[in-house]
Amino acid sequence: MLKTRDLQAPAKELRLMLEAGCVYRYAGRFREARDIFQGVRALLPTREVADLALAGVSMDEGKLDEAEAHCRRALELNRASAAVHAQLAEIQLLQNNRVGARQSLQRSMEISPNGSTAALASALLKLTSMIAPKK
Amino acid sequence: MSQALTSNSGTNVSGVNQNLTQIQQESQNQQVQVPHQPSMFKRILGGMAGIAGNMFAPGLGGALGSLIGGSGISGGIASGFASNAADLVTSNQLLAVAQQSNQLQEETALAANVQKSKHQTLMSVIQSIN
Repeated sequence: MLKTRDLQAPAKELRLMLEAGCVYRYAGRFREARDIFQGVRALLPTREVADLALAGVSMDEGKLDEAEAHCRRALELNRASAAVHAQLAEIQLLQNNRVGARQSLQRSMEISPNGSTAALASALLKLTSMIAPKK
Repeated sequence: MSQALTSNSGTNVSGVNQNLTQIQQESQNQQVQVPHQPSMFKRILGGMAGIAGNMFAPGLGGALGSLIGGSGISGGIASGFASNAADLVTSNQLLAVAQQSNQLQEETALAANVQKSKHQTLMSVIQSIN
């Protein structure tokens, strides 16, 4: 049960809501996914997870500026989130901002050198080098 | 009677000689018309030599093979070089297609890896809620 500054909500149900939102997002039903993630953000205003998920939805919809705004808000809540830095790097890659993407990925790998986030960051770094114009 | 025999035999002998010369001419004509075909063993050996030669020297293997296979010397070499040039172009095209395919496969694997890592990252963030 989450009590500190957050509304009292069972963590298990919050996780279930977030997973359901992810399923909606993968199914391309962005409106439903957005509604769920906004509900989670209302229940967990101090955690970055809802904004991270909303950034993913906006990115899938092609709303890159909105996705970046969600990422910035998530970073305000938790500066040390490697996942948010990796998400921001992906958005910057789509915005054709390779320098910013590389910096975000390096920051992500500094925060979390191992695990799934590090694997994502290294894969995105490889993608950045592939996208880079050949001299 | 004897004169008749001799005359008959003379006409018979001359007729046989004419037939023989006709047969010889026909056989010579046939030999001229049909070119010399190399034996099967020689052709197979030539093909194998051509393949082996192409592995080390792509331009010369086919010519060597055609030379051993007995498809002629002057015309054979010329046609061998022409076919080898065509083979070289084809092999270069195949190489380009193979390289393109490898690059595409690498990009597909990378994209799949990115998608998988994205999902796992999000799930690990979700699971970290306590």
